[in-house]
Amino acid sequence: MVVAVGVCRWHHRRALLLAMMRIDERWPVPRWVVRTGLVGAAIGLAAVIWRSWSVTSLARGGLCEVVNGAPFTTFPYPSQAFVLTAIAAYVVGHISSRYVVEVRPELVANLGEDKFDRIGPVLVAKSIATGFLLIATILNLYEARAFAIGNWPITYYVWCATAASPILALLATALVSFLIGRWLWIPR
Amino acid sequence: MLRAARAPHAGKVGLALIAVILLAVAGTENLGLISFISAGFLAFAGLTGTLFLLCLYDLVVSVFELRYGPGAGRPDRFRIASDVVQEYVRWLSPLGFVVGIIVGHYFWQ
Repeated sequence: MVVAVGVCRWHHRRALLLAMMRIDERWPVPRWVVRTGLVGAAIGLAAVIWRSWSVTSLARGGLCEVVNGAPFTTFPYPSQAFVLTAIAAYVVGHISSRYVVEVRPELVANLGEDKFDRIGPVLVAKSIATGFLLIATILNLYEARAFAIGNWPITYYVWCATAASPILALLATALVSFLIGRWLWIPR
Repeated sequence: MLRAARAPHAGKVGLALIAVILLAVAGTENLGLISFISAGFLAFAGLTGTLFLLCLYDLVVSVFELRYGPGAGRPDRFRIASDVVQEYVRWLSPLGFVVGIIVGHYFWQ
């Protein structure tokens, strides 16, 4: 509570906002374009989430057959194909990150040191990591509770989506894994 | 409480918390109170939840630095060094991804 009140004070929020707005140091675009883009992206993300929620809420009767309360799906590929694709894309993402580090070593610095020593970017990075882990925890708890009480877990919706379009599911698997490997498996 | 805390101890507390959660989940599943699948997701929730608490601790220390200045309150005593975080990310990220996706595939099936 004390932390929340502290962050909500203007001179604390200012450091956070400045850290997010200072991307114009790297991207020479007008600040109003950046702000408009961020607002537009937020609205677009909300629209996509709302649309996805609307579509998946119909998944029980629409996208796949339901047998004994669970989706009955058949996939054209073995499920191991998704696992191997994800791992391969993850490794490729890491290799691409290593390539960037070798080509542009001036971009590399430890968080909190050198060019990243300002407290604003440090707080932004830590807030994103904390929020990501909070969401992951909530999703895992939701899955555990859904399986315990017999509700549909997110896993079943993913099954239906994969059955509806295996190619797109495979591409999405590769894309997400690539980004995770690029951003979260940092090179030495 | 923050004055009594030290960053190395925060990591040890995190490891102890994960061990307690895993033992509790395994015991509960063994007694038949929850299903095997729910126990698996609860174990992952325990892992991510503990990492969340550690990140929250680090964030709180950083906000206190912002509030009172880097020289006040001996922040180095509480700070989790950036190289510690980077070592965790460097090794835990590939390990967690590969193991997680294989175990997740098992639950998927």
